[in-house]
This record gives sequence, structure tokens and C-alpha cells, in this order.
Amino acid sequence: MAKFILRRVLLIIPIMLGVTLIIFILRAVTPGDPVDQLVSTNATEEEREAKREELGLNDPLVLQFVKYVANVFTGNLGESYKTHQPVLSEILQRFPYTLIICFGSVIIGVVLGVPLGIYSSLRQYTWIDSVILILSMVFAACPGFVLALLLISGFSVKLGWFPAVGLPNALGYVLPMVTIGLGSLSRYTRITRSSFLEVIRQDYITTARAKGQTERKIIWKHAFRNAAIPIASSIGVQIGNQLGGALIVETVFGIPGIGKYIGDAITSRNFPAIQGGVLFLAFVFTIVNLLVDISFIYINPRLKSGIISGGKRKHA
Amino acid sequence: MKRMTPAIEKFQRKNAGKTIKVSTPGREAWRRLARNRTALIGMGILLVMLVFALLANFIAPYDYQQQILTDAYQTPSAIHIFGTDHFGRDLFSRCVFGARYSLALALLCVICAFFTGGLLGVIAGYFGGKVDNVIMRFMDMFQAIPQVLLAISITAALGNGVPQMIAAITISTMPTISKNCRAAILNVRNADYVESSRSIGVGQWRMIFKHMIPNALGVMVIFVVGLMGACINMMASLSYLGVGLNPPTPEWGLILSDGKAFFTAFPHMVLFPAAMILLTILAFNMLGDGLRDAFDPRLK
Repeated sequence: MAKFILRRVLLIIPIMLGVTLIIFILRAVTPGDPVDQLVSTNATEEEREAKREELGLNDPLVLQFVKYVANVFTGNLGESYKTHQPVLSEILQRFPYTLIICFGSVIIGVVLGVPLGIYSSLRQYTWIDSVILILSMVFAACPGFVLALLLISGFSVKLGWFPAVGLPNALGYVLPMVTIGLGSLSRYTRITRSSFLEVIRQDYITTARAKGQTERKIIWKHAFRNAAIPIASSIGVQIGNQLGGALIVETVFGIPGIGKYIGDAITSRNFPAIQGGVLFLAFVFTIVNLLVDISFIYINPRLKSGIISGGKRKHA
Repeated sequence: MKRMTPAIEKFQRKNAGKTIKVSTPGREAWRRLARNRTALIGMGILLVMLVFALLANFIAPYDYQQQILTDAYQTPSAIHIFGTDHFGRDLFSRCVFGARYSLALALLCVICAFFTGGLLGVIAGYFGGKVDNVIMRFMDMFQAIPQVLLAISITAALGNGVPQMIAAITISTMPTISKNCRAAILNVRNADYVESSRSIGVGQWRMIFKHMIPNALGVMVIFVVGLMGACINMMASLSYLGVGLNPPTPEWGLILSDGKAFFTAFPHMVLFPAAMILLTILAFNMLGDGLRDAFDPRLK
């Protein structure tokens, strides 16, 4: 098992190399001279050339890439064109906001989605099941920025409960969290529902019922533990969507997280900031996936024995 | 010809001249789909959108880019049923033409993604081993960047415009499409008819295109219907962030983005394009789910 975890951890290196390559290629194909952003408009050709040399833009692409990778792996993501601060420190300053929103929205999605899914599976084909399914479909179809605008108009402008833009106080987190949380609700609801429908038809549930176990115990002790695996695995996938969605939601709500940082960098064509931000989020996403994979072994004991004896069984 | 058994002869005599409907898995699936109310509603909405897209010139009462500044900021009325925007353009006309742009672009994205990601997935699934490993690790690389983020960074690098956006959405959806197509091919790889074609010496490419893809196509098409909704969502998000298409293209996300500054005072400028986006994505998801339930009832 330690071997499995080690292999999984080492796999991060090639994946991050790949991500770095994609980001480097994107920078290379971007039209326009990056020097334009850095020198004044009336700079002479010599000054521009000096700047280009300083940035290493005259080196062959392969050498540039090697240098870029070396920098990335030592934590140097370059300097923001706008503020001339190191990109990494700017990102780390903004990361907590994104992290809080991401966590909050996962909690909202799970806390609302899982019980709804369980309830709807226990009342399969009734009107309440249909209402839950339709609601979750509507939320799934609603693009994040539309939901965000609707929530702002309802809860900020009309009712005045939450701030519309920025973070004057902790209440500012609520609407962004709800926006992303509701967007992910349908995935949790549907996975819980289908997973539960499968589990409650199993023999051990019938046995529990025959024993006279209370319904509450049957649901939470017997069914839920077995239905939890697909639900847990969907959380990992969902966090990826949320990190991407954070860009849109943070921009709409004016939350100073990484999403907004990248969004602003795109408008001002601040390339080191875009690259650094995307690279950082990809890294976080990769780590989350790793943690999900590893936690799986603990959630699902069958998988554990599969990994330990898997190698031998394959050749048998 | 060999004499048929009396039972069959009797059956034939009794049903002479009648067409007998034989139940095949395909027909069963269509029957299930026709009974699925959600799927039918989805199909209905899509039909309306399709009519909008195809007949936009006849349905739209005004030119979608004609600016009548004296008519600006009008709320919905009999003359402008969706109202007008800040340039006095008729929003209903823009939304109707938007159906054409949004649907056509989403379809183009899906086709491109299918021909790149789908084909790679098929190749990976068919050849397996090293080929599979290389292709899938390549896809993992792209999948390590959250989808929307990847699309946004591609358009940020390439700039705004139709081909750039198609490239962005194609590349960012490629990993999921290839993984799904790979799974679909793996499903049919060990089927008996594949085995028997192999044993009579059918060549590799003929095997893939003539025997395996047609049989795996159903699963792939169901997946693609769901993907259309995701593409429209992503397109609208890109346009909203200002890294999608260029104005005055009447793409729904762009119409909405134009109106967002006036949302509090004139909510109709946002609500109508938002409704179009929401309804279309919902319809694609409903139809996609219906198709999946109909063709693979086990998954329900």
C-alpha cells in the first residue's frame, strides 16, 4: 500500500511537467511581443532589445522551456507585469479566499445534495422525487454567472441581506458559496439517489428490515456506508469544476481570490500572472485528486486488498 | 428449399399480408424514449430552438444589429416583446439569431472534439498497451487543468473570435470525450462479432470503422448530446468574461454580458438571454438523460 501511495505521489511530477508544457506552449503561440507590456511606448529599439535579452526571450524555445521548468519547480513563477511583485506571493495571498469559497461550496453541495438524494431515492417515482430531480436539473443547467446575477438581484439588491460585491464582512462569502454549491447540487443529488437505489435493493437491507431494525438505522448504518463510495469520488471531480468555476464567480462577486486574479490578468494581458495562476490551480487540483485517491483506500476496504494482492493476481 | 415446420407455415398463413412489428433492442429503446416525459419536453424545447436557428431571418422582426438609439432601454412591450438594449437593438431578434450562433458553434465544437479526442480515444481503446498508455497520459495532462480554466487560458492566449473559441472548447473537452470513447470501444472490443471478424482476417482499420465504431456509436452519441449543453455553457461563460466572441455577434452569452451593467435597472436585458441559455442547456441535458435511460435502462 505504501508503494501504491508512493507511485501515486510520484505521478504528480510528469503531470505537472505536462501542465507546465501546455502553459508554456500557450504563451509561445500568443500573438504580440511581451516586451510591449514592459517598456514605455517611446522606448528605443535598443532598450527593447535589452529587455528581451534580460527576459531570455532571444533564447531558443527549448532552452526557454527548460529555464521556465527550473523556475517553476523552485517556486519562481515570475514577476507580475503590473505590480512587479513575485507572482507566487501574490497568489498565496489570494489563495485563502478561493479555498474558503471552495470548501464552503462543497459543504453546501453535500449537505443539501446528499439528503435530497436519499430522500428522493426512498420516495422513488413520487411527485417529491420528480420535484427534486427537476430542481437539481435546473440548477445544473444554470451557468454560474446567471445564478450569481440572480442571487445578487434577489438577496443583495432587493433584500439587502448580503453585500453584492467584495468582502466588507464575512457575509460576503455566502452568495459565492451558495452559487457554486447550488451548481454542484445536482451531481450530489443524482449520484446519491442512484447509488442508494442500488444499495437498498441488496439482501443485507432486507435482512436488516427482517430483523426489525429501525428505518433510521437502516438508512444511515446499513445503506449509507455502502452508498458513500461513489458520492465521495464525485466530490473530487466536483472540486475541479469548482476551482474553474471560481474564476467566474469571483469575477462576478469581486472576491479577491485566485480566480479574480487570473481574470484581471487576462484583461490586462499580464502573462506571468495568468500562467502562474493557472499552474497553481492545476497543482491544487492534482493534489486534491491525489488525496481523494488515497482516501479511497480507507473508505473502501475492498480496494485495499485489491491493491495489495493486485500485483500477484494479475499474472495468475 | 427446405420445408418449413408446420407451425411456421401456419403463422405465415395467418399473418399473410400483414406487417409484423418485431421487437428489437433499438425499437424498444425508442418506445421507452417516447414514453419519457422529460426527454420529450427536452426535444420540444430543442425543436423550438432549432426553428429559431434555421428560420431566424423570417422570425426575427428586426435586424439584430440595427441600432435605434431613440428606442434604447425599452422594457418588453408589444412592439419589442423582449424589450431593447442600451443601443436600441431589439432583444428578441438578437436572441433568435443567438440561437443560430450558439447552436451552430456548439455543434462545431462538439464535432471538432469528436474528431480529435474521440478518434484518439478509439485508437487508445482498440490498440491498448503502449499506445493506450501514451494517449491517456497525454489526456491526463490536459485534464489536470480544470476545464473552464483551460478554455479560458487558451482564449486568453489566442484572442477573441470564432476559430479561437472553437479551439479552446475543443481542446478543453478533448480529454473527457476521449476517455468516454475509449470506454465505449473497450466495451465492444471483446464482443463475439469482433472476434469472428478478426478470425476471418478483417483488417485493423476496417475493423475499427466498419465493426466497432458503428456498434459503439450509440453510447458516444448519447454522451455528445449531453456535451452540447456543456459547450453552450462554456461558450456563454467565455463571452461573459470577455474572452469569447467579439461584439456585435448575437451569441447568448455576449448579449447577456452586454446587459449586465444595466441589470438592476433593466433586468430584462439579462433575463431573456439567460433564459435562452438555461432552457437550451436544460433541454440538452433532459434529452441526453432520456436517451441514456432508454438505451441503457440498467443505469437508471
